[in-house]
Amino acid sequence: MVLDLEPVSHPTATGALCVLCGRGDIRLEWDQNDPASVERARAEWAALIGKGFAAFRMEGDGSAGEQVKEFDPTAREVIFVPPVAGG
Amino acid sequence: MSWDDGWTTSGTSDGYRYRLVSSTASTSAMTSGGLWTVIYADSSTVGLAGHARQYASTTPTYDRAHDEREVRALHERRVQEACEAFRWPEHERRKRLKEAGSRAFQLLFRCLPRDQAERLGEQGHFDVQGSQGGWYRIREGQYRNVLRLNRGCFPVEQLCLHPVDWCPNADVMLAQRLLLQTDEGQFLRQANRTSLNTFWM
Repeated sequence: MVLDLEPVSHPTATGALCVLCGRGDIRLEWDQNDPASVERARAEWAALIGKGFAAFRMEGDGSAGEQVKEFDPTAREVIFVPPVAGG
Repeated sequence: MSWDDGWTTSGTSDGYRYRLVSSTASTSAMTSGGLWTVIYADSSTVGLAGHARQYASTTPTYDRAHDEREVRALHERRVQEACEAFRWPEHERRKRLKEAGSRAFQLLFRCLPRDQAERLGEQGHFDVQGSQGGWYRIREGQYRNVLRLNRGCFPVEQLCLHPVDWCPNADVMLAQRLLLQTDEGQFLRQANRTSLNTFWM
């Protein structure tokens, strides 16, 4: 699966999606006070979930991530894990 | 004991080499002839060799070199497919792969708690507890790199689960940690599992 995804940075980012892929992680940032960036992140979220990625919300303190299904603009960092299979 | 690059033949006469895989009071060894571990209450090399010899003679044939070649070939094929999918020119591939790997490690270290990050840096692996309470060792790599540990913290099973499309090792290790910690049952159902023969003395 080729991911048509480019990094998106935001000067006042409050949250980010980190998508794991062969290019290393691709980071898409948003600011919860910037509706356009929130909508862009929400759209990418839906597209990735549709491709079988699993989303894990991280708190940044080394704790275990929590799998989440719905986009939350207040999240600080969400790691997207691609589809996996036994090797 | 005398160790040569992590392996010892001290006290053995069966042609197998033994590798110390644990520094706890109970000594375990993995023979070069197969994935056997022998656990002892002391670290006597004579006892180690004697008992391991007994079990090694009954092991099924295991061709480690062939296994490692297969994994290497699989890895190279997957990396090649990824480079072609991203349309990276040949002369840029090494640099791009190195950058991806470096970024992946930075993310992994950022997501790990301090003790796991230190362990990874020093020993090349870290241990995580699954959502159902099981303990797992995630070693550096992405193929067959996850070990299920028993209550004595010794590996009893080898697990292989990785993204369908190639990702750098550190990204795979992060994914494995997240999947184990949130849905251990699903991880076990999907992973390719190989039992490691372990004998307790």
